[in-house]
Amino acid sequence: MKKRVLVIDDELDSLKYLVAVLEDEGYEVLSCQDGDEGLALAANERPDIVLLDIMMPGRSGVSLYRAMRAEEALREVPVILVSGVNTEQEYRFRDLVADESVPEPQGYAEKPINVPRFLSKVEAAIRTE
Amino acid sequence: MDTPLPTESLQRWLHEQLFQQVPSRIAIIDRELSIVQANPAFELSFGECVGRKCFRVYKGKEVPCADCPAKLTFADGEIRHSEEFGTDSRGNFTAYFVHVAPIVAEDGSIPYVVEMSTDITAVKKLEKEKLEAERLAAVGQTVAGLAHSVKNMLMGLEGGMYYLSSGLKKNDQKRLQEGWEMVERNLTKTTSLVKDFLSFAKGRPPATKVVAPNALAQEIVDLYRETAAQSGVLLALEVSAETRLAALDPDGIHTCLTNLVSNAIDACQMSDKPVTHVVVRVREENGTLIFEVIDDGAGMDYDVKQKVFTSFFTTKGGEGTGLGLLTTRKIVQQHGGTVEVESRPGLGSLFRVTLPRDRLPPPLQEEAGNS
Repeated sequence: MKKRVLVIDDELDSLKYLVAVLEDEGYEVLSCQDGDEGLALAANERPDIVLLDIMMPGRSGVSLYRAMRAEEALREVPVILVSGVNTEQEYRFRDLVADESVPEPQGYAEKPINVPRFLSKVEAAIRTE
Repeated sequence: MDTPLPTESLQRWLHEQLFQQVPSRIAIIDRELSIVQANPAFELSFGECVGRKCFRVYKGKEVPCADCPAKLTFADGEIRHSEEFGTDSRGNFTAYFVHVAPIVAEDGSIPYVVEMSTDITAVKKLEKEKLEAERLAAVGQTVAGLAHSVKNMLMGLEGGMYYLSSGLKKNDQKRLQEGWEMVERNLTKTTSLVKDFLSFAKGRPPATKVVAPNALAQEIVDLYRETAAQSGVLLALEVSAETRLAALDPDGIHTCLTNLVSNAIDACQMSDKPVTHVVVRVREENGTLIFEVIDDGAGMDYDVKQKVFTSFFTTKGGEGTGLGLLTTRKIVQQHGGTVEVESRPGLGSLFRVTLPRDRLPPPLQEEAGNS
């Protein structure tokens, strides 16, 4: 069965790029450009993995990540943070790691992505679940 | 009544204990600006000084200072204080905070003033270091922000390339078309970022003219009224009749208000409310000119609020370069003012530009030109 990926990124071109790469790899892809809509999609569509941009208008990626981890149904869905900044550093910068109630995301990917490496990260994150 | 103070012993105490032993420097100066008496703390800093002119002792000058606080106090009998810079007896730079008080004779004349000064050199040094550190941090943020923007545009460009190459491989005309549009869009974005960045980096000194702040705000409101209405945003102007003329760089302030108003309209569009409002307010408060842009749009959470004035931060996806508020702050700072923000997620935001009149730059002469 096709694995289902949810991509949330406010930058349209970035979103289109990720969607095309994932679809070409055989994933079923859902996407949106807004954090709140993303949270609703995640809850309703139960994706196998969520790819999350950090800087977005309205609800930021980090805030969305926290909300997902706080929700019983979404707690186990793997998440990869995708961002133009050094994503891992950005994540740590926001002190989320220090907050032990929130586990670290399953992966980080930096824009612009390296397609093969990005796809293997996605695959690995789904497999470990 | 309590026992009256023992005047004579109090006098002695004042002289021996207070005058001799306080860590502050105290000097008594006559109307010729000669020091007639100084305490040990004063002489420790400035050396032997009785009989010498105060401007020589404090600053090594040959003539009295133009804004000499002692002279002013001799003239009006007021107590005053000021921050001064001078040179101590070892030739070191010293910053001090000085209080000047008149010594009033029985006939009401002021034969002497007493100056009490506190050494604030270390504090000033710390302040300077802190400013320096903040500036370096700002440079770091700018570099990180630039990297972020560039990476996002590269992501868009590479996305376009991916569409083009996979479109060619699959002979998919729609993909090719989309890929080409992505490349175009991101090239445009690159161009506008580079332009904005260059204009931000280059800057220009404020070309100040005496203008009516209310009229400046009116211009912006007229400019944006239609755009706002099309987005379901009611744009209003509230000006105080008390607002006086001010020496401002009209183009600069125009840029600031444009940035703030267009941001406010964007924030309104991001909210779910059917009707939203943006108010531009101009008022005057204790010698300070205040511009406010208030919206009841989406508001900002803590994360966003912390970053609004850092370079290249944008929540507008492809639309913004993230330089608007940074440029705004730079222009406001050139006017000696500050810009601050209050915001609550879901309720809206208020941006306030505060321009103390005594810190506004002087108006330039006409021949200075305006590019």
